[in-house]
Amino acid sequence: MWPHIPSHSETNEVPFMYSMTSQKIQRTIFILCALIIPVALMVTFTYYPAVKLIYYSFSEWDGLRPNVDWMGLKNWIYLLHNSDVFGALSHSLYYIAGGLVQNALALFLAIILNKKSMPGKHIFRGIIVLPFILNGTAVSYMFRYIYDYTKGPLNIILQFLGIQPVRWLSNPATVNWALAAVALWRYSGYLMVIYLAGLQSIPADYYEAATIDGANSWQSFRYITIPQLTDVIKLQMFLNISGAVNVFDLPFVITSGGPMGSSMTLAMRANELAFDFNNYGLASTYGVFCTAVIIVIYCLQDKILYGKEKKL
Amino acid sequence: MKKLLAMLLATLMVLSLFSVSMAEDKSTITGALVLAHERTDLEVELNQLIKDFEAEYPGVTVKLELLANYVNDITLRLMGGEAPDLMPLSNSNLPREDYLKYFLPQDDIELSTQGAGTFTFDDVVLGYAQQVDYDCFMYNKKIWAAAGIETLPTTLEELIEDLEMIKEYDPSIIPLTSQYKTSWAIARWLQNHDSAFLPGGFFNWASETEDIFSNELILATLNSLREMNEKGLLDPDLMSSDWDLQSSDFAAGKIATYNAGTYANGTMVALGFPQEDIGFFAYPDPLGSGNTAVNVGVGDALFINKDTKYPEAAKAFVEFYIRNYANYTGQISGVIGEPCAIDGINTMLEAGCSVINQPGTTDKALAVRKTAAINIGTFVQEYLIADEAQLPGIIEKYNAIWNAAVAENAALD
Repeated sequence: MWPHIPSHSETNEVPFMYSMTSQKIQRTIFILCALIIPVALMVTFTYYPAVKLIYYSFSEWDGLRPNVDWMGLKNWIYLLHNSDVFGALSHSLYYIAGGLVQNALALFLAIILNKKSMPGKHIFRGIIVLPFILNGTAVSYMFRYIYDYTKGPLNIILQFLGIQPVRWLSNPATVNWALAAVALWRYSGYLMVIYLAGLQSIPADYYEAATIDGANSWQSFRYITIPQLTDVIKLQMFLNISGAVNVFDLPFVITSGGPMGSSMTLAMRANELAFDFNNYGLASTYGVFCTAVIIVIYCLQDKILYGKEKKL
Repeated sequence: MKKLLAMLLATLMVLSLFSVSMAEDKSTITGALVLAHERTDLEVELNQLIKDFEAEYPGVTVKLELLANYVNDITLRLMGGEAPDLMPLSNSNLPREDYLKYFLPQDDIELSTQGAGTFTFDDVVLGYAQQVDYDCFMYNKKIWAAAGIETLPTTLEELIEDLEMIKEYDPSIIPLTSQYKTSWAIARWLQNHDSAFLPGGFFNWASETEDIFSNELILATLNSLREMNEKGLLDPDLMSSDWDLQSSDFAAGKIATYNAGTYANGTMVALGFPQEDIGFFAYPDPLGSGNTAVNVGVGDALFINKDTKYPEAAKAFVEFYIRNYANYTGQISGVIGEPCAIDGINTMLEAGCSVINQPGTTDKALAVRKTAAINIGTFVQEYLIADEAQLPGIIEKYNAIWNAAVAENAALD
């Protein structure tokens, strides 16, 4: 004879508990299943290489041998005593400055192109985003030609206007500004898209209420748009800093770090150490140092710009 | 008579059978090989070489893979076990012990090469140099003649005078290109030019020497280069001058002189510049003795991946390639007995310059170079355009780094 199993109709309590427990288990299993692949991918391709990078930064490895020699703090002492490191880091400041202008420009464009009454706004959005879609190396080659002292169209235009041609890339005083301008041209459209998404998430009611209360455009921008975009601005600033410290393709192709190393960046130096001198250990130290710099600058920026708001 | 005819017939039959069997030998070799190469400028020539090889060995196909970032890519692919079957490399691209680990011995290929053209590791032959190069100046004969230059320079002062004559003849022509932006190209002034006058070559000498950047000979070269720049004898905008652009401009007749190895000859001819208008002259002694010298450098050797599925086909290709590479690409063959077909080079060598067979870079030199991590090209770039007042500081900075590296590796043999 089969054992008696109470049916749902016989009791309300047992099936309810049974059902709750089952749901919990099912839910847990579902969450685990859903997470296992992305977590595994993230651990494999993000955290494991990052931990390895930190490990290599304390070692000497030529990139070929299976054995890695532990060097302790030697690479870090070399890095922190090398004035060129801070020189290369200072070149990133130009890109950070360019990034601030880039953000202002992107926000300005986003506000204009967010207006419903703006004719042809989709076409303009496409045109402005286009430089970001272009291949970075192709863009670099294009600007190498544009900045050419003797044959570049920029100097030809200047000469046509009666202005002396400028040595954009040969002069240590102008080279980083010239490169930062390329970054500004290339990434403004990308930042604009992020700002547009942020602007479109602000409820229209806020602006309507402000208009009824007699707020003008500037006041709406200052007291509604900016506060509502705080998180977006924080993201943009983070992208700006990390992009500026890790910049590689533009100076690598356009100037190769010259003249006199005045456009050399930390990422370029790390690349040179790894691939020209087979010193992957020291190159990893540069990589970890870049990350540390980004975190420090970001924290400082966060504290300076938003510290007061948090207290409030 | 009948006997004689019969013998002749028999001999002919044996010979024909032998030749058929030889042909069959070549056709029995099969395989599908991948050849990686860095000379992106020689795609047509290399494909022609491959086509002719495939005609001789109908069972073998060779796919050419041209890589712009060649050494880095190949190094990474070797590490990952993804390397192609055949790849040219120098004898210092990898640590010495790794060559035996990654490449197939080529002892059974019968080739005799000049100087250090046979790449041997622990008495095992792993490759043969595809070419030999002479480090020297290359010049546009027509421009130099039109400028009224009758004798080639034997000192750097004479070179500067000649460049001034070229500038006077036609200011639109660049008398000497610096290729400033390409660090390996501008590093040639030390690593190749001065190397011809330093015992053991630049890096071997430097690994045993302190304060190399304030050495009399090095400074003589660098200061001459500065003088050329100050007199407007180099490119009008240094940062617009690099190897790719200036090669095209030389081929277009816009540049009169080039500090280049004879390897650049093939590039110029491939770009359409007439071979007969290309001249070469040896490096003048920077200290002004009037002696001239050229370095004989061996080019890369064609290595065979140890994991190739077709070792016989790969060896057949190596032999064909090493015997023919120079002829197809306008280079000088490293195989003994192969004449140099480039008149300009023969003329330079007949003029009586010293021909320096540079030894390979020692392990100590490689270690010092790695520890110092100084890009010689960056140093030359910096020295060339710095203000006079900055020069002592630049020399001091680089000397300090180099001296520390020499001291750290002093115990190495």
